[in-house]
Amino acid sequence: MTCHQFDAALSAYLTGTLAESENVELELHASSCDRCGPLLSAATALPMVPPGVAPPPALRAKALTAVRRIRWIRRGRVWGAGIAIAAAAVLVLSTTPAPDSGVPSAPGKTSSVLAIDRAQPEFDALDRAARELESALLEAPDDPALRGFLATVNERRAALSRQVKDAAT
Amino acid sequence: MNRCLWILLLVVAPVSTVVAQRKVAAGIGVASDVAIRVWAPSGVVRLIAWDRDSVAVSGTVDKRANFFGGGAGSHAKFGIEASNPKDPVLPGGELTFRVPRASRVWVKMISGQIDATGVTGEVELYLVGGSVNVRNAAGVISVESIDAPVILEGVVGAVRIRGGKGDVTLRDVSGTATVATVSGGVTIVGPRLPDARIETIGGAIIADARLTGSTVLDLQTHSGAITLSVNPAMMPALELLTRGGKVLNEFKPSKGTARVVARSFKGDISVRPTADIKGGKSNL
Repeated sequence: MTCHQFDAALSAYLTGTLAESENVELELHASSCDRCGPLLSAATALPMVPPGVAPPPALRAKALTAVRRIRWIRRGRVWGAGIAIAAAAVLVLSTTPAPDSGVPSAPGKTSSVLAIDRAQPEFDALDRAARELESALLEAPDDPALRGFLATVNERRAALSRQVKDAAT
Repeated sequence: MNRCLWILLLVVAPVSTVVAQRKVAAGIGVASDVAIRVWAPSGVVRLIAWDRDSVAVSGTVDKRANFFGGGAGSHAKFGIEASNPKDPVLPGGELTFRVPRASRVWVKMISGQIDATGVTGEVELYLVGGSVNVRNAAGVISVESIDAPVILEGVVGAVRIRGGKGDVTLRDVSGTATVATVSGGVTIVGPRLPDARIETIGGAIIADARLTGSTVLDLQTHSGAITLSVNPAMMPALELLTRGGKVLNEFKPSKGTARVVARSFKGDISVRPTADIKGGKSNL
C-alpha cells in the first residue's frame, strides 16, 4: 500500500467498512511508514460521534465561519495568503522525505504482500461463514451453539489477521 | 559436433549451479536446553536432534543472500538475510541444523519447507506457505501457517497448530492437541491418539476414533464434513450435533469412558467402521 492509497482508505477504515485484508494492509503500512503511522494513531484516538447527533450551536457557528474564510481565500481575494501557503507547501514538500521511505525492506514488503495474497481466500471464507451465522442468529438469537460457532469464526479471523501482520515483521 | 556441445553443457551446468549458491558450515557449543532462533525467509530448514551439546549448521545460501549466526550457552541465533535490503526477492537457502535433543527451537520462514526430527524440548514454527513435517518429537510443538500443509508423526506432548488453507495430519500423536484451520482439512490417525480439540471452518475432519482410556476428541466445523472411524468393539461415547447437516450413525450408544463430541453448523457427520474408511478415500 502506498501513502496515497492509505489516505484514500483511511475514512473507510475508521468507519469499519474496509475488508479485513485491507484493514491489515492499512495497519501494516501505517506500522512501517513515518508519515501514516502517526496519522493513524491520531485518527483512531479521536472520539467517534454517533451518526445523527447534532453539534452544539457554538461549534457549528465556528465551523461555518471557518468554511466561509476558506472559501474567501480560494476565491483569490487574499493573494498574499495564497502565495504564502503555496510557498510553505513547496518548502514542506521539498524537505519531507518520500512517503514510502519508512518501509523496512523489500523482503519485508514482499512477505506482507505474499501473506495478504495467501490469506485473502481464507478471510473470504470466514466472512461467508460469519454472514450465514449472523442470519441464522436473527431467527434464533438466543441459540448458544450458534453464538459459539460465530465466536470461533471471529477468533479465527483475529488469529489470521495477526499471522498476516507477523509475516511482515 | 553435437557430442562436443553436450559435453560442454554437462561441464558448465553443474558449475553454474554451484556458483549460484554459497556453502555454509558453522558450529558452536551450547547448553543442552539452548534456545535457538532461526530466520530464513525462503528455502528449506531441517532440524535434526543429536545427543551433543552443540549446534552444527551446514548447507547453502542463495548468491544474493548472506548467512549470519552465533551464540553460546543458553541462546543461539541464525538466519539468512538479503545482501541488498532493497532486493524484493526473498533471501533463501537450504540449511540443516543439528541441535541438542532438548533444545527449544524457533523457526520463522515466509515461504519454505521445515522438517524437524527428534527434538524433545520445544519447537515453534511460523511460516506463510510451504510445508511443515515434524517427526519423532516430544514436548511442545507449535505451528502457525497460512497455507502450508502440516504433518506431525510420532509426536508425544502438547501440540498446537493454527492454519488457514493447509491440511493438517496428525499421525500417531499422543498427549494433547489443539488444531484450528479455516479451509484446511484435519486428519487424525492412530495408533496413538491425543486428547484433541479440532476446529475448522470449511475443512473436512477425518478422525480415527478408536479411543482408549478417557481420551476426548472435541471436533467442530462450520461447513466441513466430519467422518469418524470407530471400532464397534470399543466404541467411545458419541455426541453428534449438527444444525443444517446430516448425521449418519448406525451404531448403538456407548457408555465408554472415551468420548467424541462432534458439532457442525451445516457439515454432515458420519460414523463408519474403521474397515470401511480404510477401503475408502479417506485412507486412514
